[in-house]
Amino acid sequence: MWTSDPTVFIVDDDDAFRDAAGKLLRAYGFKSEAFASAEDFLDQFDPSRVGCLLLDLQMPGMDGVELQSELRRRNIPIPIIFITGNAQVPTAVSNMTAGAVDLLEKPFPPQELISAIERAFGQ
Amino acid sequence: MGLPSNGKPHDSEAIELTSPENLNEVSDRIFRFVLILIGLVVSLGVVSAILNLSTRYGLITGLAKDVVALLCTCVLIIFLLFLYRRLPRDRTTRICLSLFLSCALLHRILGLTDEFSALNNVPILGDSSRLHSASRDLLSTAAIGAVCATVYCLVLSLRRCFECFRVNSDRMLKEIADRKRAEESARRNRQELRLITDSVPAFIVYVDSAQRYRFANKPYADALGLAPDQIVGRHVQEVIGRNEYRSVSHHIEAALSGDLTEFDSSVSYRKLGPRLMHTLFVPDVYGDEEVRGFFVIAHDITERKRTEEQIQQHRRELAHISRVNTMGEMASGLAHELNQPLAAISMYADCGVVALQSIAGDDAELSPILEKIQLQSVRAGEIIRRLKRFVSKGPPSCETIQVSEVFDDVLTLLESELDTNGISVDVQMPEVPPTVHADSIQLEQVILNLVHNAAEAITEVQSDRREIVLQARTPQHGIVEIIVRDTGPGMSEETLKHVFDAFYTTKSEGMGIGLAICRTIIESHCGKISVTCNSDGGSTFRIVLPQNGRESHVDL
Repeated sequence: MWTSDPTVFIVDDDDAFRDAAGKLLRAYGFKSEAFASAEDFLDQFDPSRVGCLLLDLQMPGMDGVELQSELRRRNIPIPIIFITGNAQVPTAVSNMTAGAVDLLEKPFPPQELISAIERAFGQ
Repeated sequence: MGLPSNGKPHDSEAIELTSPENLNEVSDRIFRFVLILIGLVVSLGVVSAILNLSTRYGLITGLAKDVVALLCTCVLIIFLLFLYRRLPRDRTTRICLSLFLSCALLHRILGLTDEFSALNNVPILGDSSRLHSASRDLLSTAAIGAVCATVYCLVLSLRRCFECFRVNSDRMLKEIADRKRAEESARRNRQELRLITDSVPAFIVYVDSAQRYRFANKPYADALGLAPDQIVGRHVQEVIGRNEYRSVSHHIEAALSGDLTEFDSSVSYRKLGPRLMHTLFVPDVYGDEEVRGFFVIAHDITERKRTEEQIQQHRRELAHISRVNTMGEMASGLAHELNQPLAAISMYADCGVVALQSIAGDDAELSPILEKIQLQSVRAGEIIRRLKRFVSKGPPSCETIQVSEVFDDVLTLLESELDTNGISVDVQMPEVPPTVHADSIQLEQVILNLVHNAAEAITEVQSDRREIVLQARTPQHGIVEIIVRDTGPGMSEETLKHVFDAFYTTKSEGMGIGLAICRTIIESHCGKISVTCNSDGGSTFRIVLPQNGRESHVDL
């Protein structure tokens, strides 16, 4: 049953952001799981699950781009919405071509996030 | 006797001759010799005259006459013997004189014997007449010889004296020439020294122990508006004035007590005005203790001090720039840190709205508040983003940009400053907002700087008109003009002239580089920046840019 229910996997090192994003998504009726780092996510993620990744670009340890490459290497085709507090256009472009659905710059209007998630689930 | 003809240093005599003492001695000898001769002739003449007179008047006759003549001759001899001691130690002269005197004595004795013989008719010395004539001949010959020898000695002495005189006169002429040469050389040295001291860019003065000028070079005299001749001989106080004298008198006293004195002071010169001088008083110590005066060497260090202060100022400014730069670099990290909580706030607020809707329907009061929280957090993020972009470092990238967007960015960043000071901004934009080919960040920096300066200028004055006009227009095809006009106090002529110079500032906290950078940026875009004063106060900055950047060939 839960395999068909898509989940938003939040990977961000900022506690407040994870908490707020979780609450926001629940308010809009999405199921979500939060991870404080890319390593945690890789450890616990079950590739058979359906959903999308809300991934912070800059994190201590493995960062967003590295996680994206790792997932591609493991052949896990999960759509990714990148979020960043410090957007760099060239990074964004390369990420988009590498299969990212969206890039949101913090702080963003919540509606933008909702639409981005809907787009990702539509894929 | 005589001189070496070609000046060979062959004998001590030549050296002896050249000494003035020797000359004196020779002339003295001749003088004495002549004196003795005159004495002899005169005394013999006097004796003969007395005898002749006595004979003529029959006072004494015959034997008596000869006795008197002999006595007179004896007296004469005694007198001459007295003189003899004072005669020159010249053997020839002495022999001649002795011979002469002996002849005279013998002549008198023979005369006496003649008289005796005639009186008594008895020859005292045998055949008196024969003896008489023989001795007479002998005596005459001896007397002639003595006279000749005496004359020879006299000639020799004269010659020697003449030689001496000649040598000494040569020497004297040479000495005079030498002295003249030395004087000429000394004069030239003095002239050279004067030339050097007058050319040195320092004040050089000598003051004696009575505090009177003995020397003053031209720069010093010029500074006082006097000629060096007008200074030399006068008292220090008389020349520099009482006030200046009072400020240096203790240094003068120190120098005159033998201490080397060095000090910096501000001195007001009649011709140069106030100058900062570095002065050295060097005492002129004679012997162990006596101070005869002191030298003054003073340099004008006004420019040097000013430069030093400028360097200090630049150093402080550089330190400030460095801090500002560090802050700029920090802004990137700061933006990231601030954006995290802002994103959370935005999302929490939105959760609130959704939750509120699901629980109690649409709350007419709470919902808009939560929405505003969410909006403001997004706006805060926008400000940070623009600030970050503004301080970002990177190669200038020219693109076609909307001037109105640049204005928006600037006003967003300065909103708080303008609001706090109650300044309104009148943005005037043509119906078709102009575009320009430029680096948006650099152009934004220029306009931000101008608007910021305008706001600062307005806060300087207490006025009801607190307005900045920010205008963009296209006065002719291909040219964009941006005008920033304020209602501040305006600028002085001096400021207008230097306002774009680096490190020129009228602000106490200012670095004086803002407008210099503005000009550099505008010129790198092939544009021009200028400033004028408004007729009703305040100033107007005008930027003219070619719309197509460097490629355009528009005459500005």
